[in-house]
Amino acid sequence: MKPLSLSIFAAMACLFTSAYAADEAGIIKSRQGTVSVERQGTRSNAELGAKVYATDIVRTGADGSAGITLRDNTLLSAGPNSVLALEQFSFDSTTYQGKLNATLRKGSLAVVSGKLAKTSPESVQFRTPATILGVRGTEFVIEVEGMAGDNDAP
Amino acid sequence: MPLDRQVLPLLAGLLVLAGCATKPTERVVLLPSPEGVVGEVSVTQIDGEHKAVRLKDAYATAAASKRDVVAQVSTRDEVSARYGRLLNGLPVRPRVVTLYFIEGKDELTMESGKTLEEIKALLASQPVADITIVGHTDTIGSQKSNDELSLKRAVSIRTQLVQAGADANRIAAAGRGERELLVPTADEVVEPRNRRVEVTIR
Repeated sequence: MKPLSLSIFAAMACLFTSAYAADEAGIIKSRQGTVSVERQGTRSNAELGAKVYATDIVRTGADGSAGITLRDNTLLSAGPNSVLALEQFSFDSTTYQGKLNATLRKGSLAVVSGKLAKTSPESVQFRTPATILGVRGTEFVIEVEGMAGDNDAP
Repeated sequence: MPLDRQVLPLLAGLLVLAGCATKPTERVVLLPSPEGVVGEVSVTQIDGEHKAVRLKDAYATAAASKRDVVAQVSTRDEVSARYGRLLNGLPVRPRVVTLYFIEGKDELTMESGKTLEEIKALLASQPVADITIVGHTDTIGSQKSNDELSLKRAVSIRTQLVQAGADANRIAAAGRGERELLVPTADEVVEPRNRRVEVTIR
């Protein structure tokens, strides 16, 4: 019984890690000032070149900004005092199918859409507190006036 | 007449109040690409009547609050004044550069040698560039020898970029032999345009 449960555990661990690795969404290509990434409840300083995963929340301080390239070549630039939640990301680099859902809770965000928005526009969605954005292969800026919240500071 | 005098300020006051309540707190501005291409963004209210604004033209703007979303137009100057720094913060656009080789060798043509120097200079300003190098050959020689040659070409470029300061952990090199011809030819055909590596920089 023991070896069996062990191997099941090992298999599950494998599944978990591979699923997590598959959710790698992108890389922090530039950063200034205070930038943090919240992952599974833990916030840490976002280093240059660090990986960003689906479900991460990126925060920038009053002096902060961050440039992120996602795996499908979506480019993001978050301005100061921003809270960007990357809710869902998947991208198959062979079929170019996948999903991108992100919410700008406050602050500013410039977006250059990537391969996902080109191949399957319905799978790309940006949100703000008041609206949902549908995107067809394009570039745009989102600005959300922030209401101060305890959880906002990076 | 006296009634009007009383009602008008009241009406004006109500309008101001209404204006405050629907003051937009969010903006979305559609931008042209550097090549001038403009895509499309739809902005739909989450609450209320799910009102939607469709942005199709350069600098078309949606101003939104919880209560309303309206179409506006921004100008190029307004955008660069308000969002110039934000747009400058975008990561470098991914690009592909092709380098060509001398027949049967992992040695670049003279012109591509210059292009390689340009790539090196470019990488100096891009500290966390992720690079993929894929080597190819023409159809002269066996598939096996071309697999080896294509990999040798890719690895040679990788080595030179690492020597120039690129992060070795961020460069991958692979060979595709004669499987992916840029110019389709029969077997055993000399074709300089097929003797290449494609360097993708993101």
